[in-house]
Amino acid sequence: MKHLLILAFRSLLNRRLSALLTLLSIALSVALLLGVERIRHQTQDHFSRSVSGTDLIIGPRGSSVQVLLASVFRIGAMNNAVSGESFAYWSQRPEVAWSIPLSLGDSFRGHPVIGTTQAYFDHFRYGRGKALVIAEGEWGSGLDAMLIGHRAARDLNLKIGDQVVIAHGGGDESFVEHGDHPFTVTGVLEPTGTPVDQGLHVHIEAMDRLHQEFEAGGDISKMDPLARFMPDIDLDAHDGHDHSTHEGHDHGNHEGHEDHEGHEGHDHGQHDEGEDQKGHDHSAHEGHDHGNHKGHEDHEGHEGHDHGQHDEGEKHEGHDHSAHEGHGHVDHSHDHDHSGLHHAHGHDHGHGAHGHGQGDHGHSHADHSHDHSHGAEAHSHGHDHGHGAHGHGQGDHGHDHGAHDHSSHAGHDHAAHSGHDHGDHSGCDHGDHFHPPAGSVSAFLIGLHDRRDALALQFEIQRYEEEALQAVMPGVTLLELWEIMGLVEKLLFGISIFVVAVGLSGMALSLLARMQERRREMAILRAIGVTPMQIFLLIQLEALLLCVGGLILGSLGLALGLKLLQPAVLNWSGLLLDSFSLGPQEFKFMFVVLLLGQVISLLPSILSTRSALHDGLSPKL
Amino acid sequence: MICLTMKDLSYTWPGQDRPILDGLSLQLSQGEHLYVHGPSGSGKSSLLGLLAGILPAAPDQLNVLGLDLGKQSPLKRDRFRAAHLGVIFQQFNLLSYLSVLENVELPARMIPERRNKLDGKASAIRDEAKRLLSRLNLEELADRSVQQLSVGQQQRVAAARAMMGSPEVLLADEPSSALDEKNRDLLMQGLLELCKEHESSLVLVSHDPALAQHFEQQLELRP
Ligand SMILES: Nc1ncnc2c1ncn2[C@@H]1O[C@H](COP(=O)(O)OP(=O)(O)OP(=O)(O)O)[C@@H](O)[C@H]1O
Ligand SMILES: [Mg+2]
Repeated sequence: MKHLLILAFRSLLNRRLSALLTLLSIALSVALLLGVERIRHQTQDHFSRSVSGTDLIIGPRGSSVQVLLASVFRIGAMNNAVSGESFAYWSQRPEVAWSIPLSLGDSFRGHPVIGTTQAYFDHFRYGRGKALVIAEGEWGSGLDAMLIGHRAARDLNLKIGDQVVIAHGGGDESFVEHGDHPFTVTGVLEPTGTPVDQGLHVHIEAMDRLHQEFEAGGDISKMDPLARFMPDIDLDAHDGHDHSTHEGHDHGNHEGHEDHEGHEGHDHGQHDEGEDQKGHDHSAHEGHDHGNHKGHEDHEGHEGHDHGQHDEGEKHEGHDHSAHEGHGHVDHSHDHDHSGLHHAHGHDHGHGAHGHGQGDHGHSHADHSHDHSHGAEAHSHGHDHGHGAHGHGQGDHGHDHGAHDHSSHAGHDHAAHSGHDHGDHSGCDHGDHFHPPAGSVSAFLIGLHDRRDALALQFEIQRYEEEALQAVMPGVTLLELWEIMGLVEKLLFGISIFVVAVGLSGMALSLLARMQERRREMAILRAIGVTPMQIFLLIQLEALLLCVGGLILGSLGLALGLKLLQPAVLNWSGLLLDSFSLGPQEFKFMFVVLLLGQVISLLPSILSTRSALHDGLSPKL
Repeated sequence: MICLTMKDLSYTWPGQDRPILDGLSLQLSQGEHLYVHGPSGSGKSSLLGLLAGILPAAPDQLNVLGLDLGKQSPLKRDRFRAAHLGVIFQQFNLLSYLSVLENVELPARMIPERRNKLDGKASAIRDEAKRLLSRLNLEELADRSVQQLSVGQQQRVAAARAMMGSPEVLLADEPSSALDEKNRDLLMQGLLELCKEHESSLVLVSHDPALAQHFEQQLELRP
């Protein structure tokens, strides 16, 4: 047998070109088969390992698979959000043990940036209930703190102390970046083998800031990170603001301010939560524009304002907008169609003495809920459209600030309301990715005290009237996902089996083609005393060698291919392909390939044996 | 000791109505040589096929080394051939993908019975192969590829291989028909020497009457 094997090997070596081609075709088909199977297996494994202990994932109503993919696997995006109120409401339910808010949608060099809270690291579990562990450093409470996953650290070559500038939107760095406010890596997580490894985790408030910055295009350098979590801080303390002698004024430190005087170029667009703003003395404001003031009182001295179509301006009482001249406010809430007149729009457009030309300012400030919670420090707000002495020409300012919320703007600086440059804002449209408005979350994970409550709670959440939500049970939705993928998998598997069969048929064909020219060889072997059975074995062994060689070459090729493809697949799907390793599954498939190879080779083997028997010592060539 | 006995040996190819061999009788002692001749198509090769156990003889007609080949199963005949017979063809005796030495070693490597005659060791096999090659003045060619040999050299390598493991009977089917006189003589000389040395009997088929002188017995076949 051993000598038959040597003989088979030498015989193959002798016709190495055709053997090599056969080998290659088998290798390719085997690589395909094992690769498809591996990726399939790994996807499932990867997915089911990635989340454990989370009873429900709550997100905006839509596809449950989408919510699961985005919230746990960071695949795809959410195009809606859950309001902060809903998050608070459901998080505070007695059944709920913990909840983890997630703000998704941004990335850094292909690595997802996740806004979340400490709860993520306290309660999130993966694998068999493993917790996330910080390998080095800590998260820290600073707004610029960033805790990064193991692979993110490795792939991006980041270490503690490095600064990271977040691109806006997912994917590559083609988007506008904000170099003004880099995050600083403060900690690195232990590897988990889950999508957590890819992530860059920041405080959810910092995420809001990031988005606001983008909306604003300005500078909000130091905001109070706690503003979000202390909603009460808002405007309660705004009694008696003193905005005295503001020329290009400063709204920083609004506590205890009184007597807003001499404001030039001020604009309060759509103040949602301004009910408690009392005692503001906006005297001598020039060029003020209060779009949609809700509950502002005691605005005195404003003159000449035209608040056309204030949506929620019922409470504008006693405003004194002095020295406003010639402002035409047409539809303050949204599209400002400014035709022919001086005007201001939703944001802070303090018009000094300039004229908007005859243009169409399509400023679409959808859903501006400006929540000027003025913090302790003076900050400059990006919405400073204080027009000093320049004119908007006959242009079309297509500002489209989709659904943003300035709820955590603490400490606005409305200084320098003159000589403002509008240019930056033209055509800023970042509507092709979505991040939740400040105060809301993309989705949140909850854990229950008692898992058995999950179904009931899910039912309740689905019927929540305040907001269209859905609650996803990770396990159930994973099964759903497999069902969707099952068909594709089967198809792929079928195709790869087919390709293997083609590769093996090629081998059988080459063995058959050789049969004729090997009759002499068989006669010699027969003369020596080799039995027909051994001739049969010889051909089968050759097929076996080709198959084994194909398997080895195919596996090596696959290992190499996976290694080369790994970054691309990771970038593209967020799926981390493990490097190739041989497990029982692989051996099973290899065994099947070998068996199939042997079965297919039966034909050339039997035919060779028969012709050898027939030829005897004198082959007829 | 009797090497070969034919008793009214006949053979008819399947599908043919006339026997190609009819009523051959002959007895050959061990160490004696038999010269078989006859016109083309007279059944010389068929006779060697019977002797080698490739073709099935009828019972009680053919006895080689005390074994009635007609009563053996095909597998038994294969084993018998492997153990006791050496075969040389007219041409193309060698496996092209093995070296000269490997070709000579092949029977001892493949066939346990042959190997056992050489106390089974790989070194013994190699030594014997080299010895056989040198007896045929081929020692320099041992490591060559067989494709680099002349036809005469190839036939002598085939003779060396047939003698590997000292088979009792050597069957040669026109081994020198493709050779010139000089090469023919070289081959015959080597064959006869080796047979003598191993006390083997040689059954040789040839058209060449010049060879007949070396043989104790002759058998002429008629169509
Ligand atoms: N495999 C076979 N099947 C059927 N008939 C065969 C076969 N081999 C040979 N024969 C028949 O046997 C006859 C003798 O053939 P054989 O090869 O024994 O002759 P030979 O004496 O060796 O001739 P040559 O001197 O040309 O080699 C042929 O005429 C042929 O018809
Ligand atoms: Mg013949």
